[in-house]
Amino acid sequence: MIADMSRFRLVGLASQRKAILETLQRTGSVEVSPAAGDASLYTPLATSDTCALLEKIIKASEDASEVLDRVAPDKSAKAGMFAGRAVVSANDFDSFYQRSNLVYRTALDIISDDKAIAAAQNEISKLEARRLALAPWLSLPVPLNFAGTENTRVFVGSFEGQRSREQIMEAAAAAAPELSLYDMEIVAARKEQTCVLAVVHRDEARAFEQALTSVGFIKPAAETQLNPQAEDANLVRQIETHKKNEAAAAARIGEASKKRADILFLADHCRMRLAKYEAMRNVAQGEYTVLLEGWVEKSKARKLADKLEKSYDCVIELTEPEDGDDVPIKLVNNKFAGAIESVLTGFGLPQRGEADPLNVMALFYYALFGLMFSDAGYGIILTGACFYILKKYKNLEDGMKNSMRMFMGCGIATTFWGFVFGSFFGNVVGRVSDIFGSGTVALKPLWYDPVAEPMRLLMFSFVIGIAHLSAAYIMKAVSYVRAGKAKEILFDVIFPLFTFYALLGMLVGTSMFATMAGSAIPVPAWLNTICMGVAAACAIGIILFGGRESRSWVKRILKGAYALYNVVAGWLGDVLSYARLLALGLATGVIATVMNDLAGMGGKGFAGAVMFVLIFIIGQTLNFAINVLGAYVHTNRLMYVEFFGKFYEGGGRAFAPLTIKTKNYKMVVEE
Amino acid sequence: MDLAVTSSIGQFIVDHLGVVFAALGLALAALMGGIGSAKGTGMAGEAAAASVAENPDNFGKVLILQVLPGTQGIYGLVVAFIALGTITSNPDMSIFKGLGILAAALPAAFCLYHSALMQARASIASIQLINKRPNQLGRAIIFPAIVETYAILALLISLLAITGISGLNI
Repeated sequence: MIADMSRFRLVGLASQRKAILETLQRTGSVEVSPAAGDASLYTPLATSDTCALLEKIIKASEDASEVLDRVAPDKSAKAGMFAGRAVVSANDFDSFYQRSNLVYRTALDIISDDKAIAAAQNEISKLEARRLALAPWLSLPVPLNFAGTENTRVFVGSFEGQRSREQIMEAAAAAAPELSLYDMEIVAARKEQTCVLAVVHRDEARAFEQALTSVGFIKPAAETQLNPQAEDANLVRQIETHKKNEAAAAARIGEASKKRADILFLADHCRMRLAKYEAMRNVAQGEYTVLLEGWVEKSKARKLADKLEKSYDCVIELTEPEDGDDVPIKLVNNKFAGAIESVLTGFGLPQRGEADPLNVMALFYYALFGLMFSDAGYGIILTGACFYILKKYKNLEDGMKNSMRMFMGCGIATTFWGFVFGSFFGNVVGRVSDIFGSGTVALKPLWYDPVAEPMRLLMFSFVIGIAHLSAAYIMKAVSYVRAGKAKEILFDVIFPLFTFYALLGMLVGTSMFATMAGSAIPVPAWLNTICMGVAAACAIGIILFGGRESRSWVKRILKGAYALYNVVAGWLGDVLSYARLLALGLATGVIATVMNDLAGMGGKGFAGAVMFVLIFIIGQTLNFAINVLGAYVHTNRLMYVEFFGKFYEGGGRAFAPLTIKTKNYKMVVEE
Repeated sequence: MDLAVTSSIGQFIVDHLGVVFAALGLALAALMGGIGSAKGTGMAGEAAAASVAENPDNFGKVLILQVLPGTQGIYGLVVAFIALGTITSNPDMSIFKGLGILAAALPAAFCLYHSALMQARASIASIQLINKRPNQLGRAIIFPAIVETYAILALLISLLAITGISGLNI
């Protein structure tokens, strides 16, 4: 059901503003909305600077923890979707405040050390590249940019590819036959380049250089006056320094990783403070007092107000919501119905005044899911797995806990329908008995075997569908009653419902139905007459009132006729849609049986038994996975399209109280 | 060839062609459903991988959307197995019964193929929806699920028709 809400107005001392908000946050039961105080007395609080700062700290702690995960991963941490967050108490939170600055500095240090590591690695790779380029020159006794002596010029450079001294001399001679005062020496000849030192008399230097260039001589980029060996040693020294820096930064991060928990806590600490400051924006600030407005669950309102009034100098006023108020929606349900709340919120919360459909929905949800999954073996596994997780992991998050409860309910229903229709991992009982035993044992269905009599299951699916759709119409009637429009029930619920029932009553007596269903249901003539009368009366009712919002009678009748067409076509389409119960149910059973048939192909011996077990496990797991998804998807569809389509408006705003919203730790407040 | 031999070959064909037609129906259902689902899950898988590249947390959600067009292949298999059961229990079915089973498999064959492709397109759109609004999975699933209705209806009529025809005395 939808919880009743009270409007909450608090006037307190400005000096206690923060403390009051903190108490509200820890109770987590008040949604703070913008306070509409007298503008001459109150001004809104400016908190955006604080919020921005907190967001910066959250970002820094997240970045730092990401660095820690990358550089110094915590090997002892076992991540698991069921593990839940570690629990801390309110005292831990309060005492952390003094340390928070220090932790923030650690986080910033981690980030800057991470940047230092990246910078050092970058430098090292640059220096290594330079060393690589220098390698062929190591035997050169002069610097790369050595210019020559008093009477000579020296050219240091390289040619592409491997060449001999003779080849280069010949090429130079061919390029400049008039020159003679030169010589050259090979420094290194490698596959990719040949490094050369050439000496020439200063008079011929310019012409010689041109000749060299014309045959492909390239000067290396020289950045130093040192000879190559000394330069190489220099580069090695620089690399060493950067490596030391890198190691030091990594060691600092490693040391800081001991504070991983603190850093994660810092993020949560700031998240909580951020939520508080964001709520504070809605508080109106006077000279000495503050005005705080919001919504609180009616059932918790009085107790909370008493507690606040006792602890602080404040006055609280609780009033009923008025028409036109944007009242937030909170659903309060037992475990049975509450488990499927996520299915409802996936579609949209009910609006205020609308009936909460969860209880009715839950009943059908489990039944429909069970019919589509419909295998006792799968049902037992699903139930068992969810039960185990619920028992084993006490610290489950609420959303996960509800999902587990929902699938446990679905599993129980699946087991039930599985036995009703005699499917236990398909036909595994009979199959094992056939291969390894006498062939006399088989699991008998409690009701009948749907593979042998599919029409019968189809009819049963339609019956379930009609019940589901009727429930939707009843929900619509409830909504009308709550909205004070009881008169509309006749037009929008009774007429369409009884048009269908009467038509159905006429249909089941016909021979067409008997051939389709395989068995006739005798309908006495008087009942048939009554059905005809009711159908005609309801049809006329729909024609007369289906378009009642139109003033012109011509329009009204035309709209009414269209409404009648929609009712009949709608019923037909909606009921047929429940054929999926049969199709998906049969698909589960048939594929499971096929897997067993495959598994049994190995025969009777030891090898056959091993093969049976292997194929059985793989095949059934696959079938389980595909069909649990199918059952989930199509149960949701039947709820959203067929069921909700009849009555549900949705679009309510979710109740969003000021509360402890953390990511890494779960804070538990002692009452 | 003498007349008696010719007519006995003809008789042999007439006697056994029923099974061939029924097997053709079986093959069509499995083929078309399988091809459709392979194409469909492949298309949706491309979109799903792109989505996970942007936000790895979407994996579980987009995986569900990817496998939705995979059910048609399973339905095709179900029809094929039911048809197989009919064939093995009626090894000398008449040519008319065989043709009937072939016809009965056709709704499944065609609807499964096309609905898988169309459902894949709806799935891709829903995966893009999840990219922008990751908490809308409940609604995102519904759009492709609507398409599946027609695959289910086709599966249903094929199943009912195969079991119905195999019980006929023709």
